[in-house]
Order: sequence, then structure tokens, then C-alpha cells
Amino acid sequence: MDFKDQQAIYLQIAEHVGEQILLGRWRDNDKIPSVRELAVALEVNPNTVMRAYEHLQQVHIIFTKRGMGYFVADNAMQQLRKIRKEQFMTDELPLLLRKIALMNIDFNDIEQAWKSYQETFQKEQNEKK
Amino acid sequence: MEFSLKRIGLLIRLQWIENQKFYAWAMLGIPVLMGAILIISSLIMPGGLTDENQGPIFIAGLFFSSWIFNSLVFGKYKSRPDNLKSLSLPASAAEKTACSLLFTLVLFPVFFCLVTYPMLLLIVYIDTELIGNINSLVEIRRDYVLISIAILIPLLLLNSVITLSVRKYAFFKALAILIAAFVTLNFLNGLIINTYLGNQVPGPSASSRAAFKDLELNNVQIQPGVSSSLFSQWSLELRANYPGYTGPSAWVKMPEYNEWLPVVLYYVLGLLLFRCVYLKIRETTI
Amino acid sequence: MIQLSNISFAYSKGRPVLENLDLVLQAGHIYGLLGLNGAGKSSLLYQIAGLLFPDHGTARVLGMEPAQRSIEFLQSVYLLPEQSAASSLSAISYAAVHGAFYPAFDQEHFSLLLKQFDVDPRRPLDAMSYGQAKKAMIAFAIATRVRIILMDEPTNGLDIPSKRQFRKVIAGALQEDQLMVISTHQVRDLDNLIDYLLVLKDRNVILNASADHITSRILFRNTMDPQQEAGLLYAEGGLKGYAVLLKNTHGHDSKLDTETFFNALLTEKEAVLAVLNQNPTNHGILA
Repeated sequence: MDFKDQQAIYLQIAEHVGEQILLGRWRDNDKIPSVRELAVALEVNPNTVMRAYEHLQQVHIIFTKRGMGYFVADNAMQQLRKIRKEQFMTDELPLLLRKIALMNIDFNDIEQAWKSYQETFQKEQNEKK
Repeated sequence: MEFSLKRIGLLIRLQWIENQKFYAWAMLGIPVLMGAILIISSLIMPGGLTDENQGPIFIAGLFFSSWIFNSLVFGKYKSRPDNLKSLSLPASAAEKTACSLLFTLVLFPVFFCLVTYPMLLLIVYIDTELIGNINSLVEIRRDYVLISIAILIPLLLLNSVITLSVRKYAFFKALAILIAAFVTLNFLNGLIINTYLGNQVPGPSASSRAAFKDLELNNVQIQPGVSSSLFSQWSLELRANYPGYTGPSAWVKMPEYNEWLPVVLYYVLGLLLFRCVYLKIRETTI
Repeated sequence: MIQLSNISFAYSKGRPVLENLDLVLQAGHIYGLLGLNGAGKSSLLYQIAGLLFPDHGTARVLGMEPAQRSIEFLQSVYLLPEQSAASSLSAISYAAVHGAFYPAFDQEHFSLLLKQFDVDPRRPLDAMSYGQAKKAMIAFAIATRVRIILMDEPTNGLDIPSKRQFRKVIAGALQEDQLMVISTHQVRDLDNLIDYLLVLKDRNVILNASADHITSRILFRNTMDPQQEAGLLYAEGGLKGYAVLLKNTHGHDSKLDTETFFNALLTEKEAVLAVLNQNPTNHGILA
């Protein structure tokens, strides 16, 4: 995994974990890699991974069983989607809307683009299955 | 002072295994070199390898090689990576001192004797059977052995201290200091004995005067003289200081009941030097 | 775990290497010791390891005085020098002979690390390339399982895959009661591995701070026009844009760019330190 330059590493690690859950690689109640394992895999300080896991615990994506490690929380995927949606709505969408407004883009064009994208996205998903 | 036999054992094992190659070469090189020196002596010395020559050559070889080995062992505190490794090794300075000294004071001299003596036997055999000199094998005398050990050990201890103390050219500095110390001590010893005893040396007796007269040596002034050496068993020899003099001479020795004194002094010297090596290792930095 | 107070040291009189140095290091962290060549990084590590004695001041490591070099101390601290002593032993016999001195030495772990580092355990160390021999010694240092591991420029001489492997090994090795100090002048080699930064400059440790603390006070950004940014502390770069350090007044998150930060400290020492040392504002998250 390559780290991006802008975001704090612990957040990038948390995002990496979230990505695995969203992609369905780690399902509810699955055991996820230990702090040490993930630190080795990502070549980062274990304390940083620890911080990422603590952050994920706070937002109820993962939970810990004493002495057994970390597990994916129930409904983690829904929770993640919710968080990401909130993030999108507050952080990214305003930027997008600003661009749309600035460039005076017709909303019908956007709708058109959205529909054609949906089709290809569906195809992609079907092919994966 | 932390001291455990288990760790000494580990240190000995370390010293042995790390230097196995060196010891293997020494086991081959020392007898070959000594053999060469003995053979050359057999060929060039008058009378070949006489029993009088065998001892000094053997002892000189022992001293010189032990000394080099000693310098090598303590020289590891000179190169930074080796020094760092030695100092960081989890063992106390006393244990490190003990191990190093065991190797240089005991194991190496024993090793030297074990590999060189068979070579001496071989060369004496060649000397008499093949070269044709009439010589016998030197007799190993107990007092010679003891004196050699008595000189070798403080010498090596002193060399250890010097090697640890000076930064550069330790070997040559040690050599210079040891020669200077030897000459100075000998000189001082002679001076002291001369001062106290020189005037007590009896002059020529009536009979020796008569003997000189018979030999028509009237004009020769007979001066009693004193010669002494640190290494003459704490005794001194009094004789006329005249070349070719064969007349009476006297030996002054320590009184019998006082003979323990040099032994005690000797052990004190040994312990002091051991302590010096220990302290040096303890205060060594990189 | 390590406490140096008011340490001064000079190899020769009148030319001090360390002066009135204070330093406290805690267990459970990997400290990156940064400084230019000749800044005294090695001397500082040697002071901690008891290989050099301070001219003034006191040192306490695990409650012991390093200069005493007690056995308990030597069994708790391992210093990996930049240049290790040559040895004709193979890695495996080296570990057998030297490992015995460390009560917690883990032979199995050592073999595993050699495998990870791709080092031939049977080959004599002095027949290996510099990098291979160095990796063997890094493996040994970790396998001693001592509480304090000091590494002097461990990544020097390692090729790029080995540097990667090094980061993995270190990330997996750190125990909670353990402390590692890794000195380097190639800051990039350690980037995400260290959680505390020590910077040695002008004969003293001018900075001892966690990466979290630094990013709570300073915002790291890439920008095309540094002059547009508010609270600019430092900028470096060129045509492709600038890496800048800004005052982090709004508690934003960013990723510590160790190399830029180090350069900033060297050129804008006062300004950067002032931002790091000021009392926390409402926005700051204390490390």
C-alpha cells in the first residue's frame, strides 16, 4: 500500500481497513490482522496502527475481544457506508457542487452521465460475480 | 565485582571459536618457524645445536611469541569495531580480564611448549644423526622452568597494561618501555647494591697477592667490583672487575629465612598488574 | 527508560560534541535520531550504551548508570554500530556463540529473520557483502530481545528491497516494554516507522516530539503557490510544486513529511520550534 502525501497515516490505515470491509474481504465478526501483522504488512510503526484501530473502534467498525484480537463489528459495512456518505456530503459534494455552479453545467447532463455510469457500474459488478 | 564461572566459560568458548582459524595457523606456523630457527642454529653455530643453545632458543621463542599473542589479544581494544564489540559483550570487566589473561598467560605458553617441544626433539635428532654433531637433548631443570615462568608472567601483564594504555603503535611502545624498564631497573639495582655492599667487598687476600706476584701481574690494580642483575635470584656476585680474572669471587645471597620475601613481592606485583589490566578494561571507552 | 541530564562530552578539549544535553526516552516507541553527518548521533548512542563516559552530567538507563557497564545493563542494551567487527563465523555460529550472553536470545526468531532478510545462515560473515552482513547483524540485534536497541545508521548500505524488509522487521519486532533508537541521515528510509523524532543539532537535542504532536501543530501540504498559504513556516520545492509547512491552527490532519520537516528545522529552527513548543491552543491535540 502506498501512502498518500496529504492525509494522516493512521487515517489512511483506517481507510485501508474500511476498504477491505467494503470490498467484502473481511465480513462481520471476522478476525482482522493484529496490530503487529498490519504494521509489518504496511511497514509502519505499530503505535500508528494501534491508533487507527482505536479510531475504528470509536466509530464502531471493529471491536476487540480481550486477548483475542480485533474483529469486524456487526453491520460494519452499513456503518462504513454511513460514515463515508456523511463525509462525502460534508467534504466532497460541496466542492463538486461548487464546480458545477462555477461551470454552469446543466443538471440534465449530470443526470445523463450518472445513468450511463450506473449501467457500466452494474456490468462491472456482474462480471466480478 | 561480578564474577561467574559460567560466563567465563562462555567467554573462553567465544575466544576459542572466533579465533579458530588463527589458532590453526599458529599450530602450523610456530613449530615450522621454530624448526627453521633450530635447524639454522644447528648449521651455523659452532658445535651445532648444543644443549646450551637449545634452552635459550626455546625460551626466546616462547617469550617472543607469547608477547605477540598478548599484544594481539589486548590489541582488540584498539580497533573501534572490535573494541565496541568487546566492551558491549554482557560480561564484567573482571571476567573479560580473567579470560584474556587465561589465554595469554596460561593457554598460549602451554600450547607453545606442546607444539614446539616435539619439533625440538626432531631437530636434535637431525642435528646428531644427519648433520653429525655430537649433542644431547637439553635437560629440563625445575629452577629454569620456574624462573622462566616468573619472568614471563609479569612481562606479559605489563605488556597488557601498556597495550591497553597507549593509543597508537602499542606494540613498539610496549617494546621500548619494557627495554627501558629492564635497563633502568638493572642499573638501579646494581647501583643500590654497589652503594651498600661495594665497599664491603674484601680486597685481595695475601695468598692471591702472592699468586698475582707469581704471575708477574704486580702492576695490575685489583679492584673489587659488583655485578648484579634483577634476574639473578636476588643475589649478587662479587668479583674483581678485570678481564681474564679467574681468582676468588663471592656470591651474596638473601638469607635463607628471608626467601619468602621475593615470593611475596612477586605475587603482589602480579596482583597489582592484574588489577591494572582490569581497571584499564573497565575505563576503556571507544 | 533512558534519562540523560545535562550531559556534556568532548573527544578532545575545547571541541565539545554534546553540550548540556537533556533527554528522556520512553518505552514502547521507535525513536528516529536525525542529524547531519558529524552532528554527534553516534556519540549520543555511545553515551547511552556506556561506551563513552560523559564529562559532565548524569545518565540513567533502566535505573542504571551506563558507565558502570554492569552485566544487567549490558544484557539489557544492544548497540548495533554502523560498522560491525569482522567475523569469520557464519551467522548461525555467530548467534550461537554471542547469543548465549543474552538471557532472552531467541535462536528460532534469529533464523526466521535471516530467512526474511534473505541471508545465507551458513556463509561466513566476512565473506558476505556489506549489506548482507549488516542484515545478519540487524537480525542478531532484534533476536537478543533486549529492552533497548540502539541502531546506528542501520539502513546504510542496504539496497531498496532490504530497506523495505528492514522496515517490516522493525515494525514487527517492537514490544511494549521495548525501546528502539534508530539514527539516520537518510530520513526517508524510516519515514512511517518512527513515532518519535529526535533531532540533534548544535551539540544538543533540539527536538524530541511524537509525530502526532508535530502534525497537531504543523500542517504539511503540497501546493503550487506557497505565498498564498496562511501561516507559512517553510517551503521547499520547484516547478512541480512546493512542500510547505504551515501553522496548524484549525486542527487539520496531515501526514508528517519527515524529510521536509528535518530540512525546515535546519533552516528555520527558531520559527519551527516556537510553533511546536507554544502552549496548546484550543485546536491543538496534545500528543
